[in-house]
Amino acid sequence: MALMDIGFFSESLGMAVHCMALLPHAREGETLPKRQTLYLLHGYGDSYTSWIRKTNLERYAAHHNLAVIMPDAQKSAYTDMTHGGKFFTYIADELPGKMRAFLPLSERREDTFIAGFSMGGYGAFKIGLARPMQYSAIGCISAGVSNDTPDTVALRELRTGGRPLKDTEEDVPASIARAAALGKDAPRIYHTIGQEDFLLSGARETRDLLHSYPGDPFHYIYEEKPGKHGWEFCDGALRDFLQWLSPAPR
Amino acid sequence: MALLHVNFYSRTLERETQMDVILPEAAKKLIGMEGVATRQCKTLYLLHGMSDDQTVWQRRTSIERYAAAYGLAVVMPTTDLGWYTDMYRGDKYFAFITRELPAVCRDLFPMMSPRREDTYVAGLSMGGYGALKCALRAGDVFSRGASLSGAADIRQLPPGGYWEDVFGPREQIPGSFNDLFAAAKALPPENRPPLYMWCGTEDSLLPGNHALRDHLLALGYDLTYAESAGNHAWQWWDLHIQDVLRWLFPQTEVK
Repeated sequence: MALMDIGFFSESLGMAVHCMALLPHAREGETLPKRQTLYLLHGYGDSYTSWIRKTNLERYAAHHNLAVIMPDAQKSAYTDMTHGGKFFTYIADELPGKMRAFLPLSERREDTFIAGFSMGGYGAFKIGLARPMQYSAIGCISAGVSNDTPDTVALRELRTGGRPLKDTEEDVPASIARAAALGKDAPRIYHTIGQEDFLLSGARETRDLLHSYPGDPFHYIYEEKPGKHGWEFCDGALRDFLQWLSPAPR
Repeated sequence: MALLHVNFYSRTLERETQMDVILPEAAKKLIGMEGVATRQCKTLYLLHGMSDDQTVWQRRTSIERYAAAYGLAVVMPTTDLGWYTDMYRGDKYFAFITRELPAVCRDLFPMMSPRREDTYVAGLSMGGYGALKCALRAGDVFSRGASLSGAADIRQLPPGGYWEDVFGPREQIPGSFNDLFAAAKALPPENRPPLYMWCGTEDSLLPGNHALRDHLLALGYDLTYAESAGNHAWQWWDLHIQDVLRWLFPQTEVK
């Protein structure tokens, strides 16, 4: 695996940004197809470096021959902030094009996945379901789809300015309903949380919401396991998610 | 331009190594610099000197800004104290830089043109020597080579010790694969790449540059040679790497 810290310019944020990328590379004389790609989102208080530093991601991704793109979204909750950057637009609509320009990443939906931990798990639900034709699988670790992520009221005010997300493309329950209507084209969803996690009730609400769709359009997997809201749980959940994800249907 | 700090495994060196890569990037709202995306972009392999690593060109020059004007990708590997040489006692840096590295870059960065016409090599001091050797000994990969303050004449190195670890016994260096004078002579006229050399008049490496210049011109090489005030220091390499880019792209007007 090659590990890269990529510095580039984001048009939607209007500033220089960084992301981390893991990329399987070819052996001598070998030609690899464009790589299957996981967009992996960090949690509140973390950054684009967190996954590499606090989990065994590189080892797991190498096992599955998977490219991983880890952007930075500050504390935005992957939202187009009213008083701040347009992080939803940046990650949903700009980042994949940027990365595919720089790196040999597959453009195919069936090769493209999104997942995250905590605030990033919420972001993966939000972006993956708002762009269901871009991602064929979604992973959420230690979060749910409620916008009531554990932040302060003041921060939420910066994010949304009191603007309701309802009926915007960041309205996750609405995105779920739209994506479910895609039938067999709905993304697969893997959702896991620790039994001692303080976001457990929100995750169970999300579970109930996703179970309410007849016919299980998301091939929805929900797992509660012993553990708290932290990297120790996240590392194991990441390994299990990748095991569930791969081999992805081609 | 995007800047990538890349960690990867080299099968040639049999260990993890690093390179920094500058890639052309489409950017409209970027302040103070225009960015244009390029498909099948030209690539400059830019080599560091002794004591340096993959970060040094960015830290001591404005190479990103200069390369942006040409939509040029720049690959800056680290090669330690390896002299771009398959060492007598040590790692195979020449094989790494001329075989593995271009293959790795074209695999990881599909926007880089694989054509030799679009692939160049330049460097300073040890890297100047390395750039000329790459152009002369790996002409199937690189179409042009440029040396700034290059260590042009390794026949003059002291015997034994580190130098023997790199190049082998001193008496075997003249006429060897690593001797630029022999490399230049060995190429048939139709395979001789255009070369560029600059050296400062206060640099102790100036006599070696004069000797190689005279040798290349006597052989009929298309050599652009320049020397001007300067010693062995970054203020001059920041200045003259811009001349190297103008030499590579004479048709491009830089604002």
